[in-house]
Amino acid sequence: MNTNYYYSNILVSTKNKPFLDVLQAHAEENKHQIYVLSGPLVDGKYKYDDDSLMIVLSSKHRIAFVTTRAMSEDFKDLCDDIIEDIGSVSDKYGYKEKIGRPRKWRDKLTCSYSTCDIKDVDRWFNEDIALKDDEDFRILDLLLSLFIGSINDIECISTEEPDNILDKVKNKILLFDGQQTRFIYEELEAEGKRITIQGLSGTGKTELLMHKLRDLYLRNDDKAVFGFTCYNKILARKLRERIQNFFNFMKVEKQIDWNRLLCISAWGSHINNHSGIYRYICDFYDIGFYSLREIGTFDSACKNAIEQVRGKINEYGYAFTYTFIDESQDFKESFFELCELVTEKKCFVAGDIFQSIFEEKKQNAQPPNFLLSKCYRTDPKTLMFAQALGMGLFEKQKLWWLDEEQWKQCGYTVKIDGNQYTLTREPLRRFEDIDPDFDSLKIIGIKSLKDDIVALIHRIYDEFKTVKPEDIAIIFLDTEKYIYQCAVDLEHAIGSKLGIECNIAYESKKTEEGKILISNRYNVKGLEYPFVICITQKILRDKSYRNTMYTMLTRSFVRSYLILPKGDGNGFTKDMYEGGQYIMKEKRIVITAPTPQEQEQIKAWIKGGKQALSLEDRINIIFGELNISDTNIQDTIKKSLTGIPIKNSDAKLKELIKAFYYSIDDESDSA
Amino acid sequence: MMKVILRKIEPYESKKFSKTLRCQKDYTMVLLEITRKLLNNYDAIEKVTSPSQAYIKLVIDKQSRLFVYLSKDKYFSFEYSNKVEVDLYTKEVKSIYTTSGINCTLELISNAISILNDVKSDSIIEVYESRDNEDAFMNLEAYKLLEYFWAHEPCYLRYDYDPLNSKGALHPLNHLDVNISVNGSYKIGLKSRLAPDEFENIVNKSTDCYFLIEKLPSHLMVLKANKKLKKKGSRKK
Repeated sequence: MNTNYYYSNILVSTKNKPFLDVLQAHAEENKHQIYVLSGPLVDGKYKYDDDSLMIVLSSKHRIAFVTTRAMSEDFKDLCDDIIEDIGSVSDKYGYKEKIGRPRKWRDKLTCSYSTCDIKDVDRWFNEDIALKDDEDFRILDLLLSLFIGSINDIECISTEEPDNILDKVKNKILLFDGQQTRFIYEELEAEGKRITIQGLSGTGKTELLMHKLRDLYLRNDDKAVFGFTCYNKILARKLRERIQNFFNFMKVEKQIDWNRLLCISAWGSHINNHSGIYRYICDFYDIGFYSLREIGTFDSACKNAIEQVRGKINEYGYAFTYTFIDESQDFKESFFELCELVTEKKCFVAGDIFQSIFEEKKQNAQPPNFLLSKCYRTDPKTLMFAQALGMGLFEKQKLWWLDEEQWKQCGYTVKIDGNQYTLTREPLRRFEDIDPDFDSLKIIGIKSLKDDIVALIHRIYDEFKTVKPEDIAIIFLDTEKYIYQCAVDLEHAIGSKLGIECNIAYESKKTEEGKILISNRYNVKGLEYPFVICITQKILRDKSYRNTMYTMLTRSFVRSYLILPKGDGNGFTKDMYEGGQYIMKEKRIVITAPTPQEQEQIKAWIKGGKQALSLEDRINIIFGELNISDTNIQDTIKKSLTGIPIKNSDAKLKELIKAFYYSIDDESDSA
Repeated sequence: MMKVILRKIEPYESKKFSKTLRCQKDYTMVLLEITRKLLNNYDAIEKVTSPSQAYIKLVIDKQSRLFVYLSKDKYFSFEYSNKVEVDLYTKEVKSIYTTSGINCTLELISNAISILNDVKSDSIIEVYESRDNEDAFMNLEAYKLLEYFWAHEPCYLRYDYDPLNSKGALHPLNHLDVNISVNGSYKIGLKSRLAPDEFENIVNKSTDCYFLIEKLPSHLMVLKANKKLKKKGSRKK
């Protein structure tokens, strides 16, 4: 069985089973990634005519070509062929410049064995094939990445080990884990039409979708149509850029035909048929399209489309061959159903498990096909602290609670002792070269936003000499209007005192090199930075706020800062401080589970707070309930509502809308 | 009474104001950025002390004009019809209103810039139509503010001392660029450099007008005559 630490595509037989079993056990026990392959996975074209061949790949170990037969000249020739093939792959992806020709590395980094000569597999792995010289580690990792197709952008990678934390993490050679490799390379025929991937943010979901897209794009003929989508327009635009760059550095020679690879947001607009997946479907099946203003919610639009499309599939055929849906937590089930209906082969759905774990409908749903429990973006300490703050674990009344299974789904190892839970996360390869006591999350109380943030950036520049402006992101967690003044103030202070330009991303909607990013919570999805500075006025007990705080604090891969005003009233308590210190020092969360009564309260609170809808959404839902469909009347009512503060309760909001609606009616009657 | 508001342009932000304006979208963006800059008083200056200082000057009189001095070689101006409220004592800009009554808050300006960055093929209505729940933080008034700025006549004039690209009478060393759009803009050559106060006088209705006295300055007349002669000579040969 393939797991996070072990991946094998070798057909198990009586001859190879004992060997493979020991390797798998070793990988699991030592949490050390091992791949056993029948040939390089990259580009899907390397097949060898020898079923006894096993290529054992693992960091810090020589590449071992192993046969279950006796060693022969034929097998040695086969090893030479594979090395030659990898040499040509290395040339294709531009690695040759960095790692050199095969003759440079073959003797040092490869070896061949027969299982007949391996008496003790554990010892063989630990001693015989272990690589001693750490200067070769990086070249080996680059070779491994070629075998498994986990191609790194070679422009950004050096073969020499960097001497500082920032560049060490930035330059780490990324290798797929077992789950990821399985998702990309296996046919998944048995899994049904919809394939779901769930994982915390930073588990590499989008990256995986792209690898799968590339694989299928190359394997299918020119008639196949691909849909790649997410809810947010800006994110869709970024995804399109990412696909372009990804295809470039993955050396896809086929030109991208954007008319059959639609990377667009889910909804779209009347004007352009290619502006959204739903818009495209409406055009394809010749059915009516509804905008937000016309129908209120996307869910209603999709349900409506499903009804109309169902009878037309036979006549019109499928709109897509494959669809890819990212950030699936932003959608209701109806959109997935619609996509499944109009897709011929597979519909890949990737989403954040943490954000959807509480939604009751999903609890009864099928478990995901792929559960990515390892978060590769953030230092596990940061993730633990951010999650603990987000869930209110250090507060007397916790805001969220997960059961043992859910903790495990989120990638925790759980130890329960009475009502005490000890939660730990496994260490990550990405951070293995960093001092385990490095402070990856800092909470800072400030007096003056401008001066203290400038001073903080100064300190980051002092501590990390190779930092660049685009390595830093400043994110406002709050939505209040004060952020517009603060953003301008910060831009001015950073510009005039440090001479560094800023990019206000909620305006520019793009990332820019050479500039520090300033943004709000809406415009940082899918992005990661070495340093993230989160600014808030007060830690609120509000579900959507806490969720934002957790997702923003986990966008960093070196360090996150949480910035609060100094003094009482900022919501940051002594318990939070001590809990955080404990996580940083002990690398685990120790908490007392809430009592059954408290858990009931939490559930009720979550249920109440689940509808974290925008005001616009809430108003539209009420319009639907009151059958107000005339857009002019809707606009008039919306206009009347601006500036009126009684909007927290839906009941009150409904009353207000009713009152305005009837007054409009009266006026038109009297006219 | 005439009011003058000065804001210095720091090096880090000079790109925002020095982009060549080619279409209405570029103009609207600069106008929004300038309005935001006027609202922030920390770059206020009382007078310009160094000739190399980049700055913005707003002159409010019967007609209000903005002047953006990027360097001693390049400056431009356009009409600024917004109502600017200034504190009598502190001289700080308190608020800016459009003539249609929209209060240009930092939030609205930011939202309008955000919308403007979404505008493709000159259609604001398309951006409005395709907004989704993610745009919920956006204030709907921002569309109106954007529409107001967009629909405004720029009345754009630019002075350029351009030794890099100058090419005889086609692209004079000193010239004025009139209008923004690529097809509608044209140059008027100048005999010599134009000082900021002279530039301001050109667009000031209450001062004497400037005259286009001759089509070409004398040195270029001589140059042109010489070229003609040369051409004739080569034909004879």
